[in-house]
Amino acid sequence: MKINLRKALTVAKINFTHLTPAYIITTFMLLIGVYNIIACLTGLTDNQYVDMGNYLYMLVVTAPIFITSRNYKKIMCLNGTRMDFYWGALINYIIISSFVSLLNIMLYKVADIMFGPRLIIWNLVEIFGWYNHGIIIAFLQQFSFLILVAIFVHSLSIIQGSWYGWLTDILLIAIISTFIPINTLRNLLLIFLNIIIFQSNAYMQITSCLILTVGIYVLNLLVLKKRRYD
Amino acid sequence: MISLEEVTKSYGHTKALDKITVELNDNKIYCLLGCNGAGKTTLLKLIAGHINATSGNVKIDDNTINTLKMPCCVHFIENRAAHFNIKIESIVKMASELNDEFDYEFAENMIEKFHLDKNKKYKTLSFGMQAMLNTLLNLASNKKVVLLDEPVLGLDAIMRGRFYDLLNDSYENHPRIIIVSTHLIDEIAKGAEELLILDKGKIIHRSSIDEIDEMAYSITGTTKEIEPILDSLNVIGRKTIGGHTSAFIYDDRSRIPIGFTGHPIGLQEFFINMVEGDSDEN
Repeated sequence: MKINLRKALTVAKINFTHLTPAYIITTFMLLIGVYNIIACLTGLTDNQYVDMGNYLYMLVVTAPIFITSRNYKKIMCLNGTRMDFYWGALINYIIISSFVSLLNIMLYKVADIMFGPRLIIWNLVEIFGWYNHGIIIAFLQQFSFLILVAIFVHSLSIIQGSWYGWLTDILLIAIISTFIPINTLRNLLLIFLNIIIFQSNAYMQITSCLILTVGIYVLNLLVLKKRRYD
Repeated sequence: MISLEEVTKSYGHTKALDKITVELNDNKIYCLLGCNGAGKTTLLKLIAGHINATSGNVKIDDNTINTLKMPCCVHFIENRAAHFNIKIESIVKMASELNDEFDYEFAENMIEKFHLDKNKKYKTLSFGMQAMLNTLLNLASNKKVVLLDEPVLGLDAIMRGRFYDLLNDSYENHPRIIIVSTHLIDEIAKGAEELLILDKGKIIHRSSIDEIDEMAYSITGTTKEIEPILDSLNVIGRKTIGGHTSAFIYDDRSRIPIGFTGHPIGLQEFFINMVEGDSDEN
């Protein structure tokens, strides 16, 4: 499979330039974060503060939705190829996941220094136990989880409108609604979440997330082959 | 260069293309004619690798084409393409960034020639101007194969004239395979060299425009006079009105029987007769 890196980078650039709705939603969430911190510091609410960096996760979720639903069609209309889009979108997700992962850790560090003594700061990096292995490992663990999320949302978005899209939606709803109430199945779900999020062995967590990411993205080739743009 | 072998494309139970076999090798302007739903756009999309054939092979330079192996030497932007709602200037820039061979200077010149406001956003353009922009992007692509789907749809007579000039200029500067699908038959005849007529998913006719000029004609007379001589000619259609018949022939003019005159017919009339055939109005 040949990769035209220059064209993939162009697609990635086009995607980044045309993600305004995703940027607006993320900015709105960040503003909620700003309000949250002001409210905590001024005593309007209790001293528990959800770190601003967490709100950046919204970009990881919304970007694939707009890349697949808006940008794909338009890139194809400019005579872009499906493979350019495929690799270009992957570059987008790698950059977004790295950026969000890095910024979240940085914001957490800054918040810890600035407000640590006064507030209880909640950050997913800490909650998921990623921070226990140091900053670099935390960055990698968070990055691998975020890229998995991005690729998952990308895949889910791109199959919408097709019969297999509907089937996947129904399957996901079925899994969530049947796995949670039934004890044995719930344990299976917990095992899966342990592997991709709460795994104490950082390398295992990173490897699992990356393998899943690659697997899901390879399956995307089948979808892309059939996916129409008109 | 372009080779389709027994290509069928079905949408559900509907066959858009039915076992088409065709080769286009020479640099020419090809005109693809067909009624609505004849399969013109489907054929262009298959060549561009935008859709997959249900059966058969589409090859460009001996490489089989599909949606994941889209040919890099083919350029196809649809007439009604959904672009980002940004300035025309930015769309042209974006297209040039996606294509190494894009002739930016040609695109800029054409924007000026067609009085397209570079600062206008795509959605604020009229339908005709949007079509012109897409045609311009196709022709500026400099690819070996350029596919134009209904490029003059929505253009007024003046703009159509400019389009044909643009097409001819572009071809003269850079001879390549240009396939134009259109309904306005007589106008395209000024520039196109070869004609392909598509009907109900099949190519029913292929020849040069000159050949049609030479071989397509009509003869008129009373039905009694005309009918006996038609058996020996290749009749593509006939029209009978009140005892008089006009027969449309595609045959060697030297075979016109003595006493009859072959009147030249336009490309439009030729096309209609090829597709519709006989009609009787009494």
